[in-house]
Amino acid sequence: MEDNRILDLFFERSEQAIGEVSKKYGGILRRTAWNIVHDQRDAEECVSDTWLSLWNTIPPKRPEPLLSYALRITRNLAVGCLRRNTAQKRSSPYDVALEELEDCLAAPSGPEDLLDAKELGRSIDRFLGTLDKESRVAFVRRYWFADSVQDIASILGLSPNAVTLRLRRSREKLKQYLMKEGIAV
Amino acid sequence: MKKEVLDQALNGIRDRYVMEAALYDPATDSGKETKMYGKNVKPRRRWLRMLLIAAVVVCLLTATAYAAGLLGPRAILIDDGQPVYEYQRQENGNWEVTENPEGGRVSLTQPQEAPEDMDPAVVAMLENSKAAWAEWSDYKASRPMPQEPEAFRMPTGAFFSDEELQSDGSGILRFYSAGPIGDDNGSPVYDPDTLIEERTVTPEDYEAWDEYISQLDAMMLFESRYDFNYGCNNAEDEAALEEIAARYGLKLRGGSTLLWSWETVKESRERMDAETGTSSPEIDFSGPQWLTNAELTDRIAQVGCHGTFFYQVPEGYDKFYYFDEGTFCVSWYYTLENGTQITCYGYNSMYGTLSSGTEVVDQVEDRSAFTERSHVCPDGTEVTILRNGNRAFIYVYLPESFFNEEIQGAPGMSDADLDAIADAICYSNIGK
Repeated sequence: MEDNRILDLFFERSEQAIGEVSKKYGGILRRTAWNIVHDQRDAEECVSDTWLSLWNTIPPKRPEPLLSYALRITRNLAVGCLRRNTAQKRSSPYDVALEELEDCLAAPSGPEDLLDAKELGRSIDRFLGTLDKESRVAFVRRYWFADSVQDIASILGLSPNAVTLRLRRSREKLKQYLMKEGIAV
Repeated sequence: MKKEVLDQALNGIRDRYVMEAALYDPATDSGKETKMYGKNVKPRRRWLRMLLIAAVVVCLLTATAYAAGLLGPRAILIDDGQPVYEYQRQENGNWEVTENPEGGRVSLTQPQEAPEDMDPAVVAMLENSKAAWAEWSDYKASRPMPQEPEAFRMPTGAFFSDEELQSDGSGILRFYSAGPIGDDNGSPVYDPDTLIEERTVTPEDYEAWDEYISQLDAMMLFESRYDFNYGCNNAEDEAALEEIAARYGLKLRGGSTLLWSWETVKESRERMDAETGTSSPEIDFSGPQWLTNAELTDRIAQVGCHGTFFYQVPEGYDKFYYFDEGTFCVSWYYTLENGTQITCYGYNSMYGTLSSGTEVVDQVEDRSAFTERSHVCPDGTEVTILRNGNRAFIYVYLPESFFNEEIQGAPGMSDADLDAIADAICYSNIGK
């Protein structure tokens, strides 16, 4: 079913909307949640909560593209779940991925130096525009979707070593880019 | 930098890049059960020596199952000649992906080899399944994939690009050999000397791009009636899969049913809330996927066995899922003698089902570090118990299926613990 029709169903308050969006996007949402929380049950909860969030926010919102909107909800729920689970010492490949990025960006020296997350986000977004498509997909799949290097290699048709190298180069470029943007590293 | 800052910052990535990355992936799988940590390596001599030692201590068969013979870890180690990669933290704090020549991958599904004394008919079924999978893999490799339109492809030597959209619907793509530098205001600009090519992209080219994306979209969003591990991207793939399976006389895994224990989830959340001082949101446990531990135990017996599976109701379940043709997976909790709760992940794989043999995979750090012994369970079934550090694998060749259980153990796990875990299951009842 077309996204517009699904959105119409949400606006009509038809519960069929949940079924249709689940059928269309359930797979990629589950995968994204699983990549981050690394637990089948938690991932399913994140996806279930995504349906509820969509139901509660559409209307008034009419998000386009719907997939991206749903993915952002799922990702935020999964990250929240992961942060709660971290208190239980449960680790995640997502954290490993973030640590790669942390190392690239380096730590602030004190609370007053904490980067503004929104500004950093805008900078990372602009930086992505400078990458070739494959490198950009690799970067987003690694740090937004938390995919493993092996999975990215499979997606892009490259060897894991090539993906690792490409990610490393992208991190180096990001470091240079943020310096030029005046974000201290 | 705190992870929370990065969590939020990554939200700033625009929809276009998220969609581009999402649609690049043709997979439509859910939850991604398969644990793809790495790929394995070629056999090593130390490993062969251990096999010879294991051959001396192998025990006799029982009537209900085929002995592992001299197989030991060979029954579950995947040997596709590829290296295992691991994340390692360096002294400077960086994470690096390194190759571990000692590491190996193990399969939790179909056996990687069959024992010599196995019924030739069963051996033939396993070989049959492998041949069918090879044919299916060849078919998949031969299928055309959506091609990125020529107008958008990067020229040789270019590593960067930018795009300038025009009011008439066209665009100008510029490809550079080097990344942007800052201008006087610190904004990113490209050095003209690094320009490789400037290209005008027509509205028709953008239409071709949209078509390319829609083809990827259709692949990604296709809802196959078969297990996602088969990788069917469209109805043609499904038809080819059915044809191959029929020709080889094999069954296919259809949609799976996933069940949980609400008792376990409730206990886990209450424990977490008590430890962290948080309050977890309520979950609606009224759906058919939520059962008690006792109900789940009964359901496993109903759908996967012709009698009891667990002699006693386990203390908790992570999950149970099953396919209609007999394949099932049960992940359950067990508390060691030292009080540590661990997870046991059992998978029953039918010989007569088309399978890659790598649907669920895990990694071991040292493929030569297995110790092996046999153990006779209360129903008389002899199982093989492999141990590798804090992890263990209990497997048995049954008349119609291979049951392999990974014990995700902990320090202090004893042989008595492993025996008790093995003894919790009535293997001779597995199968309808």
